[in-house]
Amino acid sequence: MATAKAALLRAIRGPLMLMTLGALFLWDHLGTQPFSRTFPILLIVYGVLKLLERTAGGDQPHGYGGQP
Amino acid sequence: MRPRSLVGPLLLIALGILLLLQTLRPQFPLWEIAAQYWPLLLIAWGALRLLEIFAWWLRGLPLPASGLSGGEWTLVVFVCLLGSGLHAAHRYRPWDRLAAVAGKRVELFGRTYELPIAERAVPASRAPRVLIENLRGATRIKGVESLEVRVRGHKTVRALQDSDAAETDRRTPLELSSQEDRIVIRTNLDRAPADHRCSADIEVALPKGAEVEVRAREGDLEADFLNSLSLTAESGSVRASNVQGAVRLHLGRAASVKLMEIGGAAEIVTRRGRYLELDGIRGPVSVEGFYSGDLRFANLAGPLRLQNPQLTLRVQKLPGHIQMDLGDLAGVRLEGPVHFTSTRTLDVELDEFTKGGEISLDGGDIRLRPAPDGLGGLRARTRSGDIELAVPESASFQLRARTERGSVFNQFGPALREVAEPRRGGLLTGGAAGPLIELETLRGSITVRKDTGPLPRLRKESARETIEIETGDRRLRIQRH
Repeated sequence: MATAKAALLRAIRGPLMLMTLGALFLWDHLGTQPFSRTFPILLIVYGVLKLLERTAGGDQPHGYGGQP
Repeated sequence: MRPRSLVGPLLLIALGILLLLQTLRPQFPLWEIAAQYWPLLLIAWGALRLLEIFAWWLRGLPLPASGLSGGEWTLVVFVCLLGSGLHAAHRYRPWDRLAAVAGKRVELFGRTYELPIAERAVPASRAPRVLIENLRGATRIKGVESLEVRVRGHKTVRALQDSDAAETDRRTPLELSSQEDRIVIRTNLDRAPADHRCSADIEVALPKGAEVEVRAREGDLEADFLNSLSLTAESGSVRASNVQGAVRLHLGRAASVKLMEIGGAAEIVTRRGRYLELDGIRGPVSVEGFYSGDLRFANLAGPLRLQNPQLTLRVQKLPGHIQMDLGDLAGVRLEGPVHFTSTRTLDVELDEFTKGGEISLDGGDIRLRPAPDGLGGLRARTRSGDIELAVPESASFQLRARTERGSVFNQFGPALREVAEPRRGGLLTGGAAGPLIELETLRGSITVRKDTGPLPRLRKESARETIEIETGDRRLRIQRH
């Protein structure tokens, strides 16, 4: 069962990813660091958010792993 | 009931306001701003959505399964593609490249039109200051016995049709203006359309006392019988002779520079050059820049300084000549002390030079024959190469010649003696009084011999015919090869 906290974390994941993407593009256009160099940050942010969600008890695997 | 997001309408309102600004104030640089700052749209979108979700959460409303739906992500992808495209277009300016391609089209399919420049003249004093601006083309300047500045020539225009050529011609009128003692000649080629290649060849006749300044982008300059000459250009060739005062050349790339019979100083600064010839300069000569072809210096009454990142040459006077290229330096009748250092491998031959000096090479042979009556303290050093020294039999000097790996040969006589060196080197010393001559090579042989005449390999200076002309209060010498 997803807790309320996990549901919140899952809901904010999309907006946070979008803001990170925007920040990286802006960084690229201002000439600081090219996007081709900073894109792994997206993976890291996604990973961190996913991790928080799971530690909060959400994102249970379903459809496989015993429980019907 | 799940609440509906307000972000879509808010973003639409923001977009509407921006477009309205653009329509109301056409000078508002919407596209420049959009190209640079479109990622702020993503950030604002995400931030609004985040606030919204927090607000729903605090009010206990049900939260969406994901912050952004699949449809919204698709929209994000489109925004990113559009924004990146806009940004790339603004940064790489493809329209400029299209214009360049259009210029190539004229070059490929156009015709060359030769258009005359009507002859014009303005009165001038005996010693006017003349500024000539001819961006592209050949400029010939000649000092004559007259009190006017006269310009004539022709323009070359590359264009697709007659009307284009006529338009280019009309836009680039020759300007000849005179204000007190200052005369300005402009060909105004910069006003031609960017895709029309236009150059002007002009001939300028002016009083012999003229001080001339030339500004060009590319093109050749010829100048004779002036008071002084200064040139700034990006590329081109220069030939100047019979200038009473100084000549200063600042050239990006110099195909060839030839100066003859200059009464004052000569200063030549280039980034890259090919041929350089200086003959008969009375003032100090300063040459900066790298030359890939032949350099020739002759009859310099003042000091010579040649400098680039690879080598430095300094001579106090040059009654004879120096000839050099990428692999050789040969000089005859130099007044020293001669200073020459090179980080490039190069063979050096100096004949009849006075007051010694210092020669230091990274590699290459050195052959030296000091003038019999002008022996001075001398240091010659090469990392890899042979050294040969010819000294008059009667000269008094002290010698210290050393090779780390190689042999020393004493063909001078008993005044010198070989000292056995450990390993495979050799040491030759001798003499008691007089200037000190030090020769050193890390790998190579050293020969010291009696002077039996000029070095055989050196090129002889060609016989010249000299004519002297009186001009005003100065006497000019013209030499013919």
